[in-house]
Amino acid sequence: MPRSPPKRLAHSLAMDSSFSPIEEEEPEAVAEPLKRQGSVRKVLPATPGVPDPAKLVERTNSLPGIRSTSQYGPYFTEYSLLPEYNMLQGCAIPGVYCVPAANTPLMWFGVIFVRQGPYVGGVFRFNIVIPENFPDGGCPKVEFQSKLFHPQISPEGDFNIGRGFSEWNKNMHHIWQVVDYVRKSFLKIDPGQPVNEEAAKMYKMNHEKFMAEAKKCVSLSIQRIYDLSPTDDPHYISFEPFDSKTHESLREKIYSQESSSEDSRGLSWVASNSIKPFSVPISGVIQNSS
Amino acid sequence: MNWLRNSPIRVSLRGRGTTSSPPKECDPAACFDSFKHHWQQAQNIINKIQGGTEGATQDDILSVVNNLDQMQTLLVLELKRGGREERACLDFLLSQSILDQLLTSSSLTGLYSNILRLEQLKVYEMLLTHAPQQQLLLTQEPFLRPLLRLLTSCINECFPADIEKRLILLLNQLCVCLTHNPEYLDLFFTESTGPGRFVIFSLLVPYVHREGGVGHQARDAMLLCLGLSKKNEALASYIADKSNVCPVLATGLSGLYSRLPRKLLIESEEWHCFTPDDVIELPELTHFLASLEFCNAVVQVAHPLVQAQMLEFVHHGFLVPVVGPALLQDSEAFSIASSDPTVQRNMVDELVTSTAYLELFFRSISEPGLLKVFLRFIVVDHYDGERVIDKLISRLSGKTQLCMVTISLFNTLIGLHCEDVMLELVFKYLTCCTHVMLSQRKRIKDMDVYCRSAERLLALSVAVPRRRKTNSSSSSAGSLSSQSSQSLRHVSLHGDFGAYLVTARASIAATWLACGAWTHAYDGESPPPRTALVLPTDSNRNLAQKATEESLASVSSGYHSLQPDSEVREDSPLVTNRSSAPSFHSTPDIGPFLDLLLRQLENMMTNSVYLNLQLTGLISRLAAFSQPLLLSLLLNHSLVFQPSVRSLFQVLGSLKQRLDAYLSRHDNVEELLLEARLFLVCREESLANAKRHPHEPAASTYAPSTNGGSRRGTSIADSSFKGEAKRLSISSALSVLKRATQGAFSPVREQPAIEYSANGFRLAKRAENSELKNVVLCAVLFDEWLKELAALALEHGSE
Repeated sequence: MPRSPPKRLAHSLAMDSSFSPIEEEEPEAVAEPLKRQGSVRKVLPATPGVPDPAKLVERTNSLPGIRSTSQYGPYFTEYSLLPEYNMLQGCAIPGVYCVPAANTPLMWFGVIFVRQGPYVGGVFRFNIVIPENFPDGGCPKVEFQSKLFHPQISPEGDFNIGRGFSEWNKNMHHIWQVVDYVRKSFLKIDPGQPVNEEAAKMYKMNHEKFMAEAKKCVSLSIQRIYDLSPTDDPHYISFEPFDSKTHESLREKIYSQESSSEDSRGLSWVASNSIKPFSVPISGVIQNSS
Repeated sequence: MNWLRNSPIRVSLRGRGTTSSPPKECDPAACFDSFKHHWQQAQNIINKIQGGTEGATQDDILSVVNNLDQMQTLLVLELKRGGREERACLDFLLSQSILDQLLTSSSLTGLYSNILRLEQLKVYEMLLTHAPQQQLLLTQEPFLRPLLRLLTSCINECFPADIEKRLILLLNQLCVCLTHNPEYLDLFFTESTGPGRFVIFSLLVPYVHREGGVGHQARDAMLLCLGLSKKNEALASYIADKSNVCPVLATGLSGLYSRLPRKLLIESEEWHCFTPDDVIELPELTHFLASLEFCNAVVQVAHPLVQAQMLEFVHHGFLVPVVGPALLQDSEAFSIASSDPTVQRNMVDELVTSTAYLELFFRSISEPGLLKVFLRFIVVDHYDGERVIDKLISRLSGKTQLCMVTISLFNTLIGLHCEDVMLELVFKYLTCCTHVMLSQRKRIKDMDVYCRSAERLLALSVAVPRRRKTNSSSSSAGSLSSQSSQSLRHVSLHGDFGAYLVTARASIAATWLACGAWTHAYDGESPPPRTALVLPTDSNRNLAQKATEESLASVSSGYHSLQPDSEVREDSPLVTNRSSAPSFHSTPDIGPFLDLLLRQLENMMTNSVYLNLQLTGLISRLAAFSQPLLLSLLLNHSLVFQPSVRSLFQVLGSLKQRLDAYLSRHDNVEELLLEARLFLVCREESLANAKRHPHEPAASTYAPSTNGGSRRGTSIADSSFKGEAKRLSISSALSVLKRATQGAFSPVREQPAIEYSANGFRLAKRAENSELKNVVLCAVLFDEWLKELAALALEHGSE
């Protein structure tokens, strides 16, 4: 059994990630004492990280053998998810931050800062739960931790991802698309095929009241923004009130990183319009003596 | 006996008069008086000498020296005491032009002039060492004028060792002083030293190849001068135009190269490159490398004018006339084809040596300018229509030592991450994309997102045949205990797969960074395929073919006598003719370099394990490049290539089949696999242990302090012992030669490789089993290499 590969993923992702713990919003609300929001415990697998080999064997796979039976399974899961995460980072979806859990690559912590629409100002937490045999196990689930009144989010917090991705096609679909779909669902409310009938009905029948409910969700989310982490996973996204003593230097570092470009080194004397070695005209610097 | 302590005899015996050193808290006024008194005495003698007719006697000189020694002691005291207003002695020394007088008198002392010269050098050195603001001394006429006269008088002189030592020390001090105060540099370009002449540098040049401390100090001082030349045009043009340092250095390299052993006594089948220990054991090589590193440093610090001249001389004065012939002595231009086996053997041995030297040189230099000259020499220069690189590529086939060192050289060359080299070896043949089926060309850039290639690679792992039912008694007696076989079952040479991934990640990242300045992306679009060179592919094919034939004919001594010589002779001019006439053959290919590597890989089952280690290491290094054209050829399992193109997956697949088939025909393979694994693991561990206490390699004295170190080591030590990262890669870790381990693990083919004295297990039928053992070792290596490749594929996919 290989030594906990998922941990490595989490670390490497955290390093690559441009995720910043400092957000621009600084809600004035005072943190309430710890209030567990239930669903986090539910989604953590019993043995984090390492999928049960017994289950893996049973699963049918397009290429039976290595992937499903051997010790390499967890590595393949991890390395199938790495490009997904890199793509998500590359997309830089506005207002959304994601980071994989430290204990398993199969759960990513997320938080969305809604910037317009009925939920504007809200800071909502969600988890992306990825099937163990990704990319073959269907669509990743999105489960909200924040209490939300939304036609596409069940009262338990489950996002109706099936509305957007009825069938997961690994050649077309990627996790960043899921995240972007979630973001858009807060901008333009879609009451079709709802998982929260009441919300859908209210949105259609009593728009004012729906807006008020949405506002309630927003203020509740702000109130709970400093809640303590319900899990001991070190990658759980938590917030602290901005304190220039602790955070200012970090913020400066983040901003300065963008400007400093890596001094690229390497040997090349190939001219840009040529594919011949040593085609760069002999410059005055290197060889100008006759 | 107290009187003896202050006697002049005793002082003269000790050479340096420090016996009567005054107490530290002595009165400045008394010191000054004493100083004046000593000078008076010395001056009297000097005057006597100058006025007299008989010349100086030994007593005279001794007396002067003693007085000067006393004066120096007093001066040191005064200067150490500090306090600017109390510099009576120094002021006296300068105002009385004492240094001038000493210089004048020393020229009259005939036989003893060197003694006084030494004394003067000591005075200047002492003043520069102890004066609080040494640079101010340089502006003092009574200091500078006699100093310059003294130095000028030293030009073209031959001195005894003690004067040389003092002279170089003084020059070094002056250089340090000028480096800190470059504005005083012009003071040294005066009429008195000759027009436009920089006397310090001229004096240093003869010492540049000197061994030991003097040479070291001279080279240091010279580097300081060269550094100064970067900002001083007068100095730069003096060094480039008037001094002969560049030719001296370049011809010095040639001279030192010719002193290197032409043949090495290679004791091990495994040897493929020089280790730091090897270098230490060859003083000539150590000396050569010191000189090469000095040239590297010169190119690094000098003014472009000097730099250009230096490179020019290295090229025309060292590489072309000396290294070229050494590398090409097997080609027609340099040798008469001989049918004498000993002559052939000798020639091959010398080629092995010169190839290994070249490989070491590439590890020892770091300056881009110098690297460029070396690389151009290999890639561009022609020797009678033949390029060095073509010759080197042709030596990649065969199973000989020459092949091993050549692979090692290419490993180092590719490790430079130089676009020009990679273009010449690989991309030149791939940019036209003709090796890929037309319909597949847009897939070249595809990333392997869901780890399919890694899966395929790992699936190629050798199938271990089930052990056949044998008598239970024999199996328990003759095999390892079940416990140890249990523990070995999961032994990987590289720890777990995660370690392979870490190594792959680091290697890909390093490669990617090192290719940051490349001109083209080599992704099938840049450069656009249609601008690609139309290559006379026929000649490449011939090169590969010829190489195989040649290696059979000349290199492996067993075969060559069977081969009629005339055939080889006939063949060569034919090939030259064909390649010179451009033939637009349409058969796509991947170039002779990759082609020969893959051919060589096909022979993995019969290659020695050491050759396989080298070979797999080189291919792994190539697989760390992210350029899609190369990456797709090596690690994309689904890309469809032209039928004439061999892909890595094809070769691996056929190897797996043959390995499986071979192993299934034998008993006890499972045990043998475990033993082979243990052998390799033990070997790796002993290599790692040996490396933990390596000879402290002579650190590169002229290693650039600012850059270069991170990308590529500047000293041999760096490139051979990179510590953890390097140790993790099986190919490299296993392939490093340490003599210490040779006794314990002898080469596989001659003797039973694996002996468990505790369990009494031995391979009984040696001859019969040696082939099996080799195949088993190959299978273990093959499996581990698949993991390495799979890790590379995974890491590439996750970028």
